[in-house]
Amino acid sequence: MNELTTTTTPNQDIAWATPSADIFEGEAEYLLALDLPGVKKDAVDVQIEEGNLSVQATRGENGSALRYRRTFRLGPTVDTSALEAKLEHGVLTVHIPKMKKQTVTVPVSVS
Amino acid sequence: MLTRYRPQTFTSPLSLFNAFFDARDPFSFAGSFESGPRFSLNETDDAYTLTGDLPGVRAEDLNVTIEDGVLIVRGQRNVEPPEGYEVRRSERSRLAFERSYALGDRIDADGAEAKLDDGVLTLTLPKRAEAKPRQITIQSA
Repeated sequence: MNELTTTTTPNQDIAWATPSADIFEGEAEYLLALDLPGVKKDAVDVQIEEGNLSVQATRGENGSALRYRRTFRLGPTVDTSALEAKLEHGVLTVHIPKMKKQTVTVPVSVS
Repeated sequence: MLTRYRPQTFTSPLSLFNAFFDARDPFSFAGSFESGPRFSLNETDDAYTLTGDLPGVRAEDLNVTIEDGVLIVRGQRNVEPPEGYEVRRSERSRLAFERSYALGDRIDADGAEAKLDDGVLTLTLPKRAEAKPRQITIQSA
């Protein structure tokens, strides 16, 4: 999984914080852990768009809100349709399954 | 405003002066290393609150004690990959920390409360009655 952190800020009035991340690779999946202290479950948004996994979260009330954002570039080997995310103790964990290897054997006939 | 200081290190002539005038600070620095999470101290009329971001730290991995007027907060978290997983990127530290604050006798240690919500620690340390601000009525003759 190659990672890409976006540098564009859509709104200059908003201060975005970049959460720290760990990425672990297992046999069947990647595991992404992001520190999002103080963030409630309904204030996190995880999205897949054009092979990018983006996480946005808001902490606190409108006036004094802190916003977290980070984008990861997903490789072609992951199954983006089966992602699972969990927020626990201020840490977001995203399970990113790998695509099952599809091997097709082409029979070669000898004439 | 409450600031931590190091009464044991007098690096400039001013620090002695500051140490003297900070003497009423119940959170005077009592010695510990400074890495790890950042904490904020706030004061109201009734209490002091200490808050810090501790994502991934569980209640059982956190230790808060008040002994002989010294508050000690210790903790850490597990950032090891699960069995059979390899590390591809590692930015999250173990957050291993130990902080101590000399509270003196201004705090009601029995009324202290610690809460860990969404990875944020909030410690509420109520002031003893003698430490709260009092309004003095001025009597006219």
